[in-house]
Amino acid sequence: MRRLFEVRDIVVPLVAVGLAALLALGAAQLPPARFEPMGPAGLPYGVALALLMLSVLDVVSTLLKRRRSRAVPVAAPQSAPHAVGRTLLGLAVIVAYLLILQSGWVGFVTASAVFLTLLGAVLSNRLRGEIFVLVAVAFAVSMGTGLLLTRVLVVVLPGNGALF
Amino acid sequence: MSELLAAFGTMFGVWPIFYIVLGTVLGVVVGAIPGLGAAMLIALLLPLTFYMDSVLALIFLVSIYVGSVSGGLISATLMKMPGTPSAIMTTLDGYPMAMRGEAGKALSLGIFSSFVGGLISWVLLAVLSPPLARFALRFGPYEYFMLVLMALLLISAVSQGSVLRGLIAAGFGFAVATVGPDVSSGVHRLTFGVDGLHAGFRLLPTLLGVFVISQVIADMADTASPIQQAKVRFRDMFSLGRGYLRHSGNVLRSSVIGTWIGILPGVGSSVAAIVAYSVARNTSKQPETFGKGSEEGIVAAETANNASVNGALVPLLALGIPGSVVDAILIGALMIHNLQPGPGLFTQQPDLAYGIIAAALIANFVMFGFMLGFSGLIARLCMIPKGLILPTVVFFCFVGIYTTTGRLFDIWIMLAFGVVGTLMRWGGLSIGAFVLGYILSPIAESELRTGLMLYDGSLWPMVTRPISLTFLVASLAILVWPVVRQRRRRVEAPTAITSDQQS
Amino acid sequence: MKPLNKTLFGGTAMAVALMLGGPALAEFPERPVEIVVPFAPGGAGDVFARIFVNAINENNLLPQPVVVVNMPGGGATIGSGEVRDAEPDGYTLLQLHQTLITSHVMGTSDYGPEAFEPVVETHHVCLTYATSMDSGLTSLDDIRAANEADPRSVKEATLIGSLVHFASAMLENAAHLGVGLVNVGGGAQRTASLMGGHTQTMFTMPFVVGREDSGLRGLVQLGPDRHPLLPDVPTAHELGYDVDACTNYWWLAPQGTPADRVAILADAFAQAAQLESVQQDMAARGVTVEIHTGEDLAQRIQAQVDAYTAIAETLSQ
Repeated sequence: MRRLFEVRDIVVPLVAVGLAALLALGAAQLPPARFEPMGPAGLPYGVALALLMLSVLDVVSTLLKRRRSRAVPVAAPQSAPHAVGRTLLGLAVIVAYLLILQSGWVGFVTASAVFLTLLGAVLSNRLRGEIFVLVAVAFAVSMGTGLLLTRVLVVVLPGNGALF
Repeated sequence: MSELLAAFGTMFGVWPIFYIVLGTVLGVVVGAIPGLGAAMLIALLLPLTFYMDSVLALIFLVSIYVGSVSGGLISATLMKMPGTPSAIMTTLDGYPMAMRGEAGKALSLGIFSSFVGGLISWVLLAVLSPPLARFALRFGPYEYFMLVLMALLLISAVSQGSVLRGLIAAGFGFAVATVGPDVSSGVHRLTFGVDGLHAGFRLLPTLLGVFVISQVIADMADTASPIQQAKVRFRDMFSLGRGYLRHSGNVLRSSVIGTWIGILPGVGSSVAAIVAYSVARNTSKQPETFGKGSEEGIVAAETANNASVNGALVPLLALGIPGSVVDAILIGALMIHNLQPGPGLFTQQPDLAYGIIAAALIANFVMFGFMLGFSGLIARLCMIPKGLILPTVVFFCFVGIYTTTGRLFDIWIMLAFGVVGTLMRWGGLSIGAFVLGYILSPIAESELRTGLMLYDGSLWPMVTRPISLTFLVASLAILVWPVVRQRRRRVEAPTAITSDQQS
Repeated sequence: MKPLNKTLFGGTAMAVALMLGGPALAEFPERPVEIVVPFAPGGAGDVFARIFVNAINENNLLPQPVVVVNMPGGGATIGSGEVRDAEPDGYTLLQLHQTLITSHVMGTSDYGPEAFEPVVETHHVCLTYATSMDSGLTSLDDIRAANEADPRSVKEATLIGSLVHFASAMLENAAHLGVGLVNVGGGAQRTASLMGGHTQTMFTMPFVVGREDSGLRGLVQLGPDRHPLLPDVPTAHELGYDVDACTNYWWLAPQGTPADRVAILADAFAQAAQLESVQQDMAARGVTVEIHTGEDLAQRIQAQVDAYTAIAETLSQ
């Protein structure tokens, strides 16, 4: 059975309209033009208008295309469910790393080495011999960067400022 | 001339050569790593230059600059991640070529073009600096505006697939760029009460998000395949030979464009690549191959971005005005040594002024030798398992952003744009078009509004000023030319049109 | 007996503190002090700050290194906001000048200098009003005459909402030049605009005008005295206009930073200012080294706040 619309053909113009609304809303709060006719609000209003028109055109073109083509649209490549899970897990590891840096619980090198190992483990297919390489590389990369930033260059490390 | 030769003489000491080689190699490495770049490295090295001899410090920093712009093409070609912002156009054709199994060819095209672009622009720098710099100053706000407008016309070209979706993507880019400080009035726009957004969505977090993080997300979903399937054969790197000669027109044109855009203060090497790419596409016999692995696209982008490095040194040395972000930091390095950048530099410190020029050329040769020599090793990059390479890329993106902007908030912005980029890929919105709108719209807007203030609200000077008018005519030509060409083809090949209609 | 007791006690306490790893009695600072420069690296203000920081580190004026962190963006509000919200422990300082006041009165930040603990003012530069050599303008009277003949025909390159915009308003209020303002951008862009003949005048730092072959002519110096690099440029006071526009470089700590730590930091900067090398380095760049601390500094800052608040109302063209 053929779907009425591709989901993205609805989402794209909707997002464009939403963004246009947001731009107009923000532009309405800006002070009036003072030194030249365009003012700070000129461009946001212009872009909002353009996005609005483009999304209308996009909907029209989708409808036209639908009427014209009888062929079943090519289905987007479906990713296997475990791939989606792995992607989300990977993203979670990245976000957790940032949160830990922000909180300053542990030092930069520790947090980074654990992050590199964990994300590497999530993204590896087989994890037997590789794990040692992974840990070694993770530690070397984070230690090297940490030392470089603090000893050679003078940078205050993120988090609590400590190496470990 | 004799001073320049003398400067070359002094460059061939142990320490100058050491710093040029070290700088160039460091530059190529940080350039190749997505997240790290020349601006970051040079800014971080600034405190160290206090303790260095002024000539050595400056040639070191210039060599980093030369190396980094070239290094970006490696990750752009092999991983679809621009190593530096100047390599964004290289991803458009480099990666598709690599996917076709021509990674070696794509790399060597890029390396060779970088080298030749550096050579041609260096000649312009060494011979024509003062008059070129003077001429560049005649560019007023409307000239800049028109130039950028011309580059913006490329949006339809890079939006593979639907032009409408390309324009929507560019509109997203415009919208994202309006957030933050409005340079023409000093007010903060569209921050919706979030203080962290007072700096807007900056170049580095935004680009790394949509290009690198979104690519990491795509690669995470597909870990079965290595970074890319194509193998780089070492002999491919040297197989260019005479075949390269047919690009000579493109190389020459892109070098001049790149040098010129480099000279213009405040317009960076990514814009140089964008404009050269756009002109190459519009004058190409096969414009439809652009974005699908066109050799011409790689040649244009890589020639132009390297040419812009030497171009940007022109106003720095001749007038003391920085041609790019990196040059602004170089001026700081000069000031630290109490050297006054500007025309006086050639008379008061000839060893330094000519030394910088000489070093730029030597660094170009070192870059070429290093990148070709290590190309075998570079090529092996794509055989490293994803479990090792992707986390490292993310890590360096974190480090690059933190050390450039000094705060973790921008890393959140990068991750958010990673998700935005992923959604855009899903929605069929071209990331190239988005980035074009994002990079070009702030320049266009601020120059337009500066012009309105300068000419008391009038737009007339756009057509009465000759340089501005030239760009306007060129823009119209770019807009009309594809239509004319298509007409011609239809007349020539009537069969093609019927099959078009049937599909 | 007493001193010995104290030493003994101190020694024991120190040993205990060391064993526990507690910072209680350790001498401030015991880790690097971060200086936030809210601009991109390479600018004039950034270089001035780095000269001081480098002098402190090179001469070990503090037991720990001082580190510069560039946090550009948002008209300096990103960096200033970061320091305002930082832990008030003396380990984070802001290096800023009147821009802290201008962003507040322009409404781009909701705080001014009152949100900080002033540590020390180390140096200042008074602005020069300059034109390009080939503009044909040689004095303020020339500018006024040209604008009377053709209103706003002389264009001034400026950056709306910034310090130079305020300086421009101050001069306008006193001298009634009638120039047309053009928002061109930062210092380098303004210089380029003048050299290209697009605009005719600008406010800049004296060393930009004073360097050899600069192609620029100083018209008036907006400070109490003539500038050593520009001995031929009259001050506004000499011309009968009561205008001063200087950039005063302040080092500020978050509100609530302990007074003893502020004093330790201020002392280090004051010592750096005494160094021959610093004095020479700053003089060569046309910068006046002058130390102000404590109540004196607070009053100086307040005077600037009052002056800029008053001028803000007259800013529109």
